Amino acid sequence: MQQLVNGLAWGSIYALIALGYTMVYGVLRLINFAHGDVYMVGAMAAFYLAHWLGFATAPSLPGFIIVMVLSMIVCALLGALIERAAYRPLRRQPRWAMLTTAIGISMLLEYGGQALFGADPKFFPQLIESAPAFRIADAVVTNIDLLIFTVSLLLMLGLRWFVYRTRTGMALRAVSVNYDAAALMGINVDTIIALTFMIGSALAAAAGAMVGLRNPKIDPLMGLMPGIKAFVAAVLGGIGNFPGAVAGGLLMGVCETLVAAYISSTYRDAVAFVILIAVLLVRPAGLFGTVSVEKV
Amino acid sequence: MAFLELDTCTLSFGGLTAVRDVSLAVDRGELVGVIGPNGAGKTTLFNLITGVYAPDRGAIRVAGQRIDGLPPHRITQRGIARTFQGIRLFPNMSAYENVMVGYSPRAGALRDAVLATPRAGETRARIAVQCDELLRLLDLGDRRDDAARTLSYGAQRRLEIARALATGPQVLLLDEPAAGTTPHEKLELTQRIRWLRDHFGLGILIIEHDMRMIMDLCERITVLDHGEVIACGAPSAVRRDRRVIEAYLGPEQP
Amino acid sequence: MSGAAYVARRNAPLLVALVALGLLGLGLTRWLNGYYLQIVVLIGINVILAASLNLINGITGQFSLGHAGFLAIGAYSSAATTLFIGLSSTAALPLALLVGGCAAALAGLAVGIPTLRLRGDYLAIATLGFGEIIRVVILNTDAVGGARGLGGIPILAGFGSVYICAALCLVMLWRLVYSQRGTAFFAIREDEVAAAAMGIDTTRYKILAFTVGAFWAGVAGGLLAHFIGYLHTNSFTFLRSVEIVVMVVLGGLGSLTGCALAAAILTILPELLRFGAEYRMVIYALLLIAIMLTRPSGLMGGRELSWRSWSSTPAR
Repeated sequence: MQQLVNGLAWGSIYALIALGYTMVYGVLRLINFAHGDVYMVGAMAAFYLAHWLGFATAPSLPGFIIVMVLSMIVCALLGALIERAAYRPLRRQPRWAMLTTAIGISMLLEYGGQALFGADPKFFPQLIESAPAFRIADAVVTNIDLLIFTVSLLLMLGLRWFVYRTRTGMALRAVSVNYDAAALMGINVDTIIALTFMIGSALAAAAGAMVGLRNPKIDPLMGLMPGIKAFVAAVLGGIGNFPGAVAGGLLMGVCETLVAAYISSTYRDAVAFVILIAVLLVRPAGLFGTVSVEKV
Repeated sequence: MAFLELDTCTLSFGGLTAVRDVSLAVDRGELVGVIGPNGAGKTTLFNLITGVYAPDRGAIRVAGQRIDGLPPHRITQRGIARTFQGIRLFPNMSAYENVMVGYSPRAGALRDAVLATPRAGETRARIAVQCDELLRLLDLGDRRDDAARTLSYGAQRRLEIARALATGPQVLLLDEPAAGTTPHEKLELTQRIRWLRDHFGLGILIIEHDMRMIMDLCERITVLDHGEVIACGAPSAVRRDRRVIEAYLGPEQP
Repeated sequence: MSGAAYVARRNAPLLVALVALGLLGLGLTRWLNGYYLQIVVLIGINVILAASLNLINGITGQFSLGHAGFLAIGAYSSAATTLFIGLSSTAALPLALLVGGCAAALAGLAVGIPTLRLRGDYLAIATLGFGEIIRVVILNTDAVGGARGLGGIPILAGFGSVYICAALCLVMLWRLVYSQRGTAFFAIREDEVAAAAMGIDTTRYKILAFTVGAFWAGVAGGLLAHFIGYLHTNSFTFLRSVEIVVMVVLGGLGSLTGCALAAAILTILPELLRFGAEYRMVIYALLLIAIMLTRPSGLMGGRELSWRSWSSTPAR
């Protein structure tokens, strides 16, 4: 049961990151390899902000919220920058060109991070003291876990409201369905895509900040595995599908935690890949995705 | 028994029946047309014949043997070749190479090519000559080494036909070969199609929207509407068929 | 013109280049000290890797990101051959390489068959997944060293063996791909549906590309194992796959001479950048991004090096 709680906590993190993957894939049909590293930048940004703003020495919940929000803004800008500089010029090129560039950006963030921040792990300041919040069965839910659940839920609901209840959100959906038609309808596709990257990156940053709180050891390569796992989660749920990304993320978190706890912890990372292969072979569209047929 | 026969074929996509109880026959040397309003199921019919889809019911036979359910490349190897409604050439390969692809399944074995056996050399030379000949026959000789995407629209259409011919078919399926061409080009195309039939002894099945061209060219016309055959016969008869007129122009007003 | 003369003429540039390089290499082995020789050998190994990946990615258009997995299988299985059978003379090398190549080819089959239906991005991710699974499995196999790595492999490979393998690999791939049947590979890349409609068994060719590509990656792995003498799964991560992909992309997808050239450049480059220490990989990443933004078609633009290099028509 405790494992279930842990799994759901990690699952929420994966879900937030997966949403970013799914959003970008929806509008650009691009697998943004660099997304996991944006999550890392979010954690790092939160770390530095916490120190610069003095919250590291004066822990508090509002302090964390401020740090997290600022980190989200930083990463939103980063995401927009990456899109503008590296992906937009390649939009008319074959698909592998953008994919390869994404890999390049990912490497740049990772190694640049190592050069800039130092390769050694840092310790995220305990802005909130971990304390049990309440018990379910024989499991303890800490206040940090509770924070993760709450913030994730709020962000996801916010996203859902945005995508389904605002005009800009509708424009975003239009671009996902048919890029060219949306452009012809007068939608500024460039703005929409930039916005997509910004939102996705902000979500990843929030995830990064919260992970810093829960598992304080952070380093420039921390985005690698969660990035891949969140991507697999997005594929599992059906890439391009928002509820799917959330479901996939939660499922991934739970599966992984259970495997690590009851089977073997060395195979923890392999779970993601096994799920990936299984999904791609059995049902590439994912749990909630739609199967698209090529017109001959 | 005609070379290509469809026997009451039906194909549905979910709730939509694209093709219903369609029967059709094309033999070597025949010129048959398929017409119908947009969405009537003409290209779907081609996709059925060439193995992109398998019929839910009914049978498709080539030289008496059933081919429904076979993968596309097998059907092509049995003697059915096609062109596509939207041109599907290999854009970055040269005209010569596009046609060579058509020959490739019958070219020398890969093992021989890698080991450079004498037999490989002979086959290679022979096929190379045939390839150039085909290009010449379709007036593409001077564009031999140009990338397919650099060719003019008309030349691309001719290249698609050349490539299909390279597979050595007995029956050729042409999907709207005159789409987007000028009246002059259409005339040339009509003559060329007749010539292909005469020179190669092919059966040719054509989907076209240009009525004059179809009526002029084809010996027999099948008319589809909403997936069903509503008329089949000589051009003169089809032209006057009431159902055909209604399908295109709507029901008669009192 | 007879068949043989036609064949020779088309291959002329490649054969000339190979012979020239061979002579150059022989001369170099006399003069160069160990460090430079090591680079030359690594170039040779990377050429094999780049060319073999090019068959899958560039020529057949199957974007595979798991090549390091085939490299790993080849390396470990050939090392296991010499270690566990106890051979250590140079004559054992061909056997070890063959074992490595075949083991990797089997893996290529295992990866190629399930992924047949996948397109583009999905295929890339699936191959990435397979590559990682292979690495994790090897990591957890204590019989080949597991997390400690595998050491004590007899040093049997040197410039000579690497050169021969690289030359064989390039010639074989060249003849395979530029044969009349070989147009099928390019056709699949350009338009798979149309290729099938022209009578090409796309399944067979895709599997062939994966198998042959994996085979040579395995051979490269065997050479690596018997040149360095020590293996660890850390050398076979996704990053390694990416490095090979970069070589293929830099050279121009589909160009055998291009990727060979790129392999040489990208093997030498990190050595030149040694001064940059921690910024080395950052520069590498920037370089990759710069190439993609300025000239995604790569050095050779998909063409091969030939006497007609500057003519207006692209080769495949």
